[in-house]
Parts: sequence; structure tokens; C-alpha cells
Amino acid sequence: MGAKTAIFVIKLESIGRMSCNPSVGGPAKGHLAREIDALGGEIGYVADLTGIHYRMLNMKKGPAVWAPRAQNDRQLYAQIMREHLEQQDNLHIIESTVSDILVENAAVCGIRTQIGKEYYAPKVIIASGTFLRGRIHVGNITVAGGRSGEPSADQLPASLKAAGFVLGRFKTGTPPRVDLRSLDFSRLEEQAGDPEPQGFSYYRDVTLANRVSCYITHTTAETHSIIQSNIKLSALYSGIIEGIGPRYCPSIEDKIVKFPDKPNHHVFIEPEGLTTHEAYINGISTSLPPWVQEMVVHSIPGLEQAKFMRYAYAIEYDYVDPTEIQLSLETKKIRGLYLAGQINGTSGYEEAAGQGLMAGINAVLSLDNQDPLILTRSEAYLGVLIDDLVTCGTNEPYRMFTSRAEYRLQLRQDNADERLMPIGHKLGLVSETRWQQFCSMKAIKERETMRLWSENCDKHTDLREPVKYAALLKRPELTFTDLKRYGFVAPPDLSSDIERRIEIEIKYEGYLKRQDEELTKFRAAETLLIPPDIDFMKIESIAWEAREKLQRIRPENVGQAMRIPGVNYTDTSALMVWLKKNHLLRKG
Amino acid sequence: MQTLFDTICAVITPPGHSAVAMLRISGNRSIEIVCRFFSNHAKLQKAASHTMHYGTFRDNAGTAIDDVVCLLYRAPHSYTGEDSIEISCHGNPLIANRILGTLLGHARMATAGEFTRRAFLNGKMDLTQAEAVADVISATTIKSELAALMQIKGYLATELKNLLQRITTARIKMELAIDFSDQDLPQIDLDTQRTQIAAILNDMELLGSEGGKYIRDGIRICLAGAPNLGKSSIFNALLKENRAIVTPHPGTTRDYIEETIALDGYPVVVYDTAGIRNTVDEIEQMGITRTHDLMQSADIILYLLDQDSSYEFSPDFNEERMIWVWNKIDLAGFNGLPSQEDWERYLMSLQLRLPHEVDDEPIVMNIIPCSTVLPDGLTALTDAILSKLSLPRDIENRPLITNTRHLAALQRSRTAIQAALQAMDCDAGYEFVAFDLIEASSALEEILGVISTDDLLDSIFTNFCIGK
Repeated sequence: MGAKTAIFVIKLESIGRMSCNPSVGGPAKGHLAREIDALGGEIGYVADLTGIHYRMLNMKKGPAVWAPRAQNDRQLYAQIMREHLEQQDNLHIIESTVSDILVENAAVCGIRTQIGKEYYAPKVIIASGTFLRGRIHVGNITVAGGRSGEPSADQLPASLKAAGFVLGRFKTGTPPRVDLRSLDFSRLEEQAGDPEPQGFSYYRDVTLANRVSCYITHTTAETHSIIQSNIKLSALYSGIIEGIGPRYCPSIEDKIVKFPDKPNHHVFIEPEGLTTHEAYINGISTSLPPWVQEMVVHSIPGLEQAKFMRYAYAIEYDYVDPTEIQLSLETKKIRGLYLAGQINGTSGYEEAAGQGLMAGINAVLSLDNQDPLILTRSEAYLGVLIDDLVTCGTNEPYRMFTSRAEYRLQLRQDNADERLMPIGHKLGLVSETRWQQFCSMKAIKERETMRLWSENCDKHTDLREPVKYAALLKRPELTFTDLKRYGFVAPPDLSSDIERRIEIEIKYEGYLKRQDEELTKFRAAETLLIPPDIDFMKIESIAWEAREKLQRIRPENVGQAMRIPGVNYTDTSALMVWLKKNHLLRKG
Repeated sequence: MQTLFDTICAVITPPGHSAVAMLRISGNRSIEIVCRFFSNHAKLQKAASHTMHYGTFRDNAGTAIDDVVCLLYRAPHSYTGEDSIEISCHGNPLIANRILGTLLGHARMATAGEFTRRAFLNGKMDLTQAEAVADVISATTIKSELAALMQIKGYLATELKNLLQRITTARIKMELAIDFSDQDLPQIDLDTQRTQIAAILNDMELLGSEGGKYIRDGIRICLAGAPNLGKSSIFNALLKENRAIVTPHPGTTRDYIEETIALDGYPVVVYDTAGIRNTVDEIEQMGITRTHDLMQSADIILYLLDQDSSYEFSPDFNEERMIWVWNKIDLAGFNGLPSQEDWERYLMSLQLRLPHEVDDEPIVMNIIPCSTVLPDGLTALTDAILSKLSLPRDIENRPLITNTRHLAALQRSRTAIQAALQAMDCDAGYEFVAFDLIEASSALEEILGVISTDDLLDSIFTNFCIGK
């Protein structure tokens, strides 16, 4: 978008380092990665360039929840990501730990680094990951650190607190890494990649290939008894950790304490790359001391002789209550300051990447005095993510799920380009080459859809009279490929990707129409704008508790107001009546 | 001009003669206005909330209208949340109307539901309560009131919350399978899932049974048939045997008479219509046309027959709503209601020439014997009416949906549940089943006031006249 930008990193070598498992995607996360790619972001592209194992999850369910997932080469991912950053015009990369934000008249004007140098800018984005007052826990040992082997950022949180932000503390964790050569593969179940790998990026012409397999094993009764008898040694259970961890990603201690009746838990072995023998043992994140970790791993079939390369740890870090930010990701208290990623209480690469992209876009738009780009819940998972954070806050590290999206049937991974690429192109984030490919895809898709609706088929055996191919495609037992057997002539430019898109839209037309009706109602409430300067505390027809909530969140429209927890229907209608009475209700 | 918070008044007891009638005035000028006409104004002016004051109410000219009791409520401790006074006078419509007329010199007539709307706007009650109160106001029989009261007390809310909970439980299983497919969760047992969803559907059907709608709106019964078969005598007998509960609206002329009675506890509106026959008389023909209109809109038509009857209706006429009645069985020699056997034998002996058949069964077999002279002569008729509507008899013990909007929402929820079952039957993706379940939940949430849509707001603003 052309703005002069500097990026500050604690270590240059850690750009693009995957702190958790070497994997991108999965349900809802794969959707996010595709959306980011359609808007011009990097995560999906680099994941495709560095992928070594691909699976499309949920293929047995419907197309809206098919979810691409990749295993990546951890080293290569970081290397390519750094290359891309260095190739970026107008981007200056600086290794420095930021210690302070500089604020004047409630507007940000720059930052100061630990070594005392000041940099001035009208817009600042903080994407601090798990580094703010990061504390690593292994057993009863606690060390300061942002992630394994990297220092924490201890001064910036104080600066944020001084600026008036409410900080909270979250916890997350990682499992041990072992040497693949020390595993007994005869006792592991192999999980190969899909025969036809599918990635995340659109029109980037990356060739995907499966180069490794993953493996599945499980915990045993012995594992459970080791953990039970050593539970007091876990940082999580000895009271050292105060931060709240994610319920969807519990440590192995949590799994065993909270579900004592479950005889075993799955454990996934994920190779870390092509140039290393390191493997990530997904499913047993823990804060037990190292010798107990070894006993735990060795009690798992196939891992009896496993050699440790890294030990598991739990990490606690500061985050800013996300109700401090607006839908643009700009903070309410300090103009020009944007927050993105874990600092807003989220977890996960894709969630962070999405916010980073949106904060960047909005910071530049704001420089040019343009309205921010706010994606709605009906347009993108990115819209759902940000609206959830800003409107509802979060009580645990926030992860995206497909069930969070009301308009899930529309927000598919197959159509992220159709939903978002026009926006990315308009912003100048999508190259002309990609845009041309997208436009040609759209043209082919529309042309062939028209043909299906206009051309008759008379070759299917149980047809008494000719029917349109589209009607035939609606039958549950038939696919697009079957149509060709019944006489549909597929031109050479009709790719299997386009076929799939058309098939989904025709097959599920009924459901998509129903969801469209919902969407229309949703949009109506979203377009009822609430003026920014309202004193909600003065609206007496609204319950006191709801007034306080409205005053804090400052919803931008009636739809958002309705979603604030603790603001019920009556409050919202009272608000509407009040706005109407005072002639403040405007349609956006 | 009507504004949102001016002072409003209305007679709040039903029209007609009664022991006591009551008026309400609400708004910030209500105390001042009443004091102008009330002999005991000095005391009323300064009195505390929730106090009663006896005195004379006079009109503009100073002429005494009646001795009244004023019940004072100060804001916000009133029904509406505003200053308000309830004035009790003697239950003569003329007196209540003269007091109202006097007040209307200074206050505006409340529109339908406006007191409740203000209570809602002033945070005195939530949406469900406001709507239930609106039902109480229009409730015409004990059962209606009971249903409306149960709704206020939250019985309905409890039932609906329970249904909502079960739908959510079913949905959660689907969501788990979608969002955590890469984890080792137990597979969904689709058969169990289906059984559970089907059970939800069944309970919804009980809750939303047609009886609920009849309780609120009243069952509309139209008496029709040729002249002189005894329609009016049946009409009067039904009235005499069952308590008439609403006085006819005065001052309108019409070609039919309408009364509301409580039939076995249900509000029933009975229409006695002009007799149907071929005629050239223009005025009589107009009356017959109106009879046809009434028959079209009625829930049940009691069609009287005799030996010479034949009937001709438009083809779109719904015969399922028909009850064929043979009146004056006493004249045919019966001393009481005949047994089924005797009655059929009698009807066969008549060799009626009735052309139509219903459900492949000759109409003749469905003719109900009736007499306004014999004791219990109306029993068979009453039973026929009740069974025609298949009303559950233990209605008091179950919460029923008594509001048209609620019924519509429940209906939508049911349709969505049916769709979910259908989706499961043809192995649609879990997200589609979940989509149907979400739709089912959100329909219920609309009743419970949890979430809303612009449509809903619109309908509420329409019903409560907000923001005009």
C-alpha cells in the first residue's frame, strides 16, 4: 500500500519462527489462512512454499467445513518468511526490543527501544506474541522468556499499563520434541498426506507435494499413573501458573485430571522438516519437570526409546483486554495505536496473521484519512474474529472455530478469493497477475454455470424427459464428473477447482438461499449506526449493567450492540427507541 | 400531536355494566389533571405513592359525576413507571365515559397496549412479560387468563428454555465433530442423535398444539342453514347453558348476532346468521352473502339440516369444518339423546337426499342430533365441537403458546427441526444439520427475547406504537 514502515523484532533470526507446532490450517484456521491469502497476506503462500504434508480435513462432512491443513518445514518457513520481508519495498527491518510507546495528547507518536533510541511514526502496531512479561514454566523452575531460547519483553507492558490499558494474563504450552530416529515406527500408525494435496494460496502457482508422513500413537494406563502420581510437580497444578489456558488445547495433565475415565489419548508425531530429525509430539503439552516428561514419553507405544531434543514448557504472558480496541484494531484510548495477535487475547498463527494484516491495512488507510476496512461477520472469518474480540472480549486464549461463524455455509475455504480478492485488489495488495487469473476463473465459472442451467441432458437412464444438467447435479448421488458421463462437454479451461465451486453452489443452493435470507436481516441491523459520541449512561430505559457494557464497548451499530454479552434484547430495543426518539438513528 | 411520553388515559375495565369500573391516567401531568376535578385534591396532591383517596369527581362545569376512589402511584413505582392514578367509579358505562370525557380535555386517549408499551419502555417489564400482559388484557376466559398468567410466571419460558437446551445439546455434537475432527473424539452416534431430535419435534408439537391459538383468539362458530330450522334457539340455548361473558357491542346493526361464551372453559364466539335460501329480496340477499363470508372465516360451522335440505357451496369450501346438525329431535319422537344405533336407524329411514360425501362416508352418518327442549339435548353437539377441534382436556396443566407471534416462532422452529431430520436422512454434511438446528434455536430465542432481528423490532414497534 506504499507506506514507509519499520518492523522491530527481538531477534532477526526469529522472524517467521513457528513457536508451536510446525503446521498451518485445520478447521476454521485453514479458512483464515485462505482469506488472508486472498487479501494479499503471506501466511498461506509461505505455508504452501514450505509444506511437506497436506491433508484436507472434514472431507466426510459438508463442503463448508472442509479444512486444508499442512505440516511445514519449520526452518524453511522462517527462512522464506524472512526473505519475503526483506524483499518488501518500503520495509525497514530492525532488531531491537521495544520498551515504550510514545504518546502525546492521547495519540501515539512513536516508540523507544531498550537501547534508548526513539523512532517517530503516526501509526504503531503492537504484535507482541507471547513475549509480554513472558514466563516459561517447567516443573517448579520459572525463567523469563518470550518462547524457548528467546528473551521476554518486560518493559513494554509497563508502558501500556501506564497508558491506561487493562492487562490480563494467559497461559499456553508446548509439548516435547524428540529425535525421529529413536522411534519404533512398527508401533506407530502412519498417517499419509492426501493423494492430491491442496494448500492455501490462490493463483500463486506453487506445486505441492507430500514429502513426509505423520504418525499416530496414544497414551497408556502407565502414562496416566505417572502423571497422577507426579501431578503436584506440574507448574500448572502446583499453583505457580496463574494465567488462564485455552480449554480447547489442554495440557496432558489437564486431560488426565479432568477426564479420568478416558483410558487413552491420541498422540500425533509431526516431523519438523526435511533437514532435521526433530519431531513434535502433538497432544502432550505439559509443564511437568523434565524427568517426569521423559517417563511420560517413554510410556507411549513407539516412543519407549525416544531421545529428547527439546523439553515441553508452559508459558504465561500479558495480553490487553480486547474490548480496549475498535473494529479497526485501533485502541480506543490512544489514537494511532493498533494491537494485533496474542496481545488481543488470541492464540494461533492464522488468527495472529489475520489481525496483523487488518491492523496494517487500517493503519495505512487511516494515514490517508480513509475509512477503516471492517470485514463483517457475513463476509469473512476475519470479520467474525475481530467482532468477537471487540464486542465480547475473551476469557481464554481465543481460537477460531467454524461454529463461531453464523454464515458458515457462505464462508467456505473454496470461495475465500471470491469473497475477498476484490477487496485485496482494490487496496493494491493483490498483484495484477493474480488478479487476472482470478477474473478469468470467475468468467469461466459463470459461463459454465449458465451452461448447466441452460443445456438439457437426455443421456441419464432414469430420465423420462430431458432435464437441465444443473437439476441433475442437485441429486445427492451425482458429482460434476458424473455429468461428463451423461453428455456434458467440459471445455479445456474448466479446471477441477472451478468444477468443485460450481458443484457446491448448485448442490447446496437451497441452503445457501436460506442463509442469504438470514444475511439480509443481519445486514439490516448492522447498517443501523450508533453515533460515536453517545453517553449510554444517560439512557435510563436501559438496564444499569447494560449501560455500563455499552459505555465500555461503544458499539458502532445496533447489530454489534445486540451481540454484547449482558446487553439483552430489551436493552437494545430501548436503545433503538431512545435513538429514534432523539432522531439519532441513522442508516449506514 | 401524539408524542411518546405525554399523559394518557383510558377506561381499563371491560365495557358494560359491572359493580365497579376503573380508569387509568398515566404520565407526568396525571396528578395535576385529576386534582382539577377531584374534591379531595389537596390531600391527593401531597399524598405518598400507593395510597387511596375517597372523594367526588366533578366535570368541567363543577357538576358531580360520581363518588370515586383514587389509587395513587408515583413514578417509578407504578405499572407504567410513570406517575399514574387509577380511578374506581360505579360500574355504569355512562359514568365511566363522563369521567373519561372530562380527563380527555387535558390528556390523550391511550392507544391499545400503550400502558404496557410504556411499562416496557420504562424498563418495568421485559418483552415476554409485556406481550403476556397484552394477552391478559384481551383474555376473555379463565383459561386464557391462566395461560397468560403462566407465561408471566415463566412456565412457558422454562419449557422453551428446556427445548432450546436440548436443541443446543444436539447441535454441540455436530459442532464438535466439525471443529475437532483432527482429535480423538468419539464418533457421533447418528441414530441416537436422530432419536433425540425427533423427540424434540414431538414435544414442540404438544407445546404448540392448535389449542393454544384457540385459547387466545376464541373459537369462531357459525350457525347456518335454511330459515326456521331453529338456529336462534340453538344460539340461545348455547348462551343459556354456557356463561355469556361479553356484552354485545352497542350501536352497530348487523345481519347476524354475535356472542362470546365459555364452552368447557374455551372462549367461543357464536354467530347466529341470516337463514340461507334462494331469494330475490335484495336486502335479504345481502344478509345471505354476509353469512357466506362468516362461514368462510369460521373455525366451525354448525349447519342445520332437515328432511328437505340440500346444500350448495362454492367448491373451495372446507367441509372439514362442518358439523351437520339435526335439530328438534324431540319432534321426531325422541325423549332424550338417542343411542348411536337408534340414531343411525332413524336417519336411514329418512332417506335423505344429501349429495355430498365427506371422507367417502355419507354425510348422513355424521349428523349430530340436537334438541333445545330435551335435557342434555346439546351434549352431543358440544362434544362434537370439542372433538372437531381436538382440544386437549388437561390444558390447565401445560404451558401453551397463546400468542400469535409465539406460535409463528414455534412453528418456524418446528420446520427447522423437521429439516434437520430430513438432512440427516439424506446424509447431508454436519454443517447443514447444524444450520437447521441453529435456525430452530434462534426461532425459540426470539420468543425468549434472547436475540432479535429487525423484523421482530418492526413488529413490536407496530404493535406497541413506538416512536411515531
